[in-house]
Amino acid sequence: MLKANALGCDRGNRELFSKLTFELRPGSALKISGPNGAGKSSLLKILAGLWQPSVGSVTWRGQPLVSGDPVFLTQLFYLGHQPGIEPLLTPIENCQWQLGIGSASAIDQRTDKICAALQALGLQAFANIPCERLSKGQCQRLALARLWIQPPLLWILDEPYTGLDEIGRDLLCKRVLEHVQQGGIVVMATHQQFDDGAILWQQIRLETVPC
Amino acid sequence: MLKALCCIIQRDLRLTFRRRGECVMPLFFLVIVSSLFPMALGSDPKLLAQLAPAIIWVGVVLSLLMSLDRLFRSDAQAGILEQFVLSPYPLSLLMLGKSVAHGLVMGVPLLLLAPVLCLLLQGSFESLGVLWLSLVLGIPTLSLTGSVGAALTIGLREGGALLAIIILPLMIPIVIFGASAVTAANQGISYDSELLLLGALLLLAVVLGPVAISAALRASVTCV
Repeated sequence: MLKANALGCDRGNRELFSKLTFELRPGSALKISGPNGAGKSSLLKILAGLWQPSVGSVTWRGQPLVSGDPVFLTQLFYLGHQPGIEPLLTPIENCQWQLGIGSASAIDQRTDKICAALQALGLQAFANIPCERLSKGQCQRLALARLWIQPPLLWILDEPYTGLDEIGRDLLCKRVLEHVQQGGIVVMATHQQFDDGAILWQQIRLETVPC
Repeated sequence: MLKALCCIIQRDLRLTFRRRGECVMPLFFLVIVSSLFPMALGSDPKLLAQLAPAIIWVGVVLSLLMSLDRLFRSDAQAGILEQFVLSPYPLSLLMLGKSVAHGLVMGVPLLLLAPVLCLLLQGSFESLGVLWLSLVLGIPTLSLTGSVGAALTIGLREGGALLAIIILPLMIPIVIFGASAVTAANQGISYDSELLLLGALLLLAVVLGPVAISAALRASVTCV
């Protein structure tokens, strides 16, 4: 499915990683760990097609990744460093526009479906107040809401546990497990180590290369 | 497709409503700029009437420039631009939506304000229609052209000043045709050709603008 062929990434004359090769089949999960500045986020951005690798290539279903390819993008959920929540809109409104420009069908955009997802994430009491009044952890939960409404096949999550409390962490762990068991693919960068149950993670550890 | 476009327009209109305080600033700016001219030039009605179209047009360009500076800023701060780039819909379509929303939010109040200001500057009553028509054709073009500059200067700390330097030269033709249409109407000459040229520029901007905005945005997001 998602295949990395001898990936390498240089940032400002510094080599972050090189010769990275792996393949993710349906139902597999990859955890990328490593110290700060080792290139975890860069790798995720390359896998999501946001950045071009310096060398090597990424293929999806055997085809090289082209930036802006709608077929790939309908199957992708990418969560970066920032949750991507508009602070002046309410959680429901945020979900609506995110689903609207995503590939969601009309049924998934219905308010009751969004409300159900917010309830699962423990945000139902905040559904109608502007997001600027939510805490960081609540915004992070909201950013993950699409995984409860209309989960695409490939999840690329950059430090998804940032700001989440234990309940939120368990919720996400359970969701990831379900997704992998149903044949989904999850790529996650994290340095938190904790017991996440039955997921069989493939591991990649990036090391900081000195200048 | 159409639904994604409507979704973006609705989102931006809603956001503008939530920060309406910020959005009326360019309008106040236009009022103040155009009231500065009579103070500096003196109150000779003939001179003012002659200059009125030029003053209004330059004021409109500057106040649009002021609002353009903010067009992508909050999206960039919240990390929303990445989501635009990762949408399966064409990025140019989403950017067209943003431009339409900006054109509505800024254009409609400016169109209401401009005739009033023109009368305050002793502009003739007969030329109001032409001024209005030239602004109807000109403002969307200005908004689309300016959005390209706004997308190019995302993420730069001194983006506002650079935006003005990049974009104002591109706006010159629109100002020339817009102001000269009104001047021609004042002198009783035919102004059809100016309006037709403004219309042609608008069509060009509608076709090429969203493509250019999305290319600039993609470059800003993917090559940081």
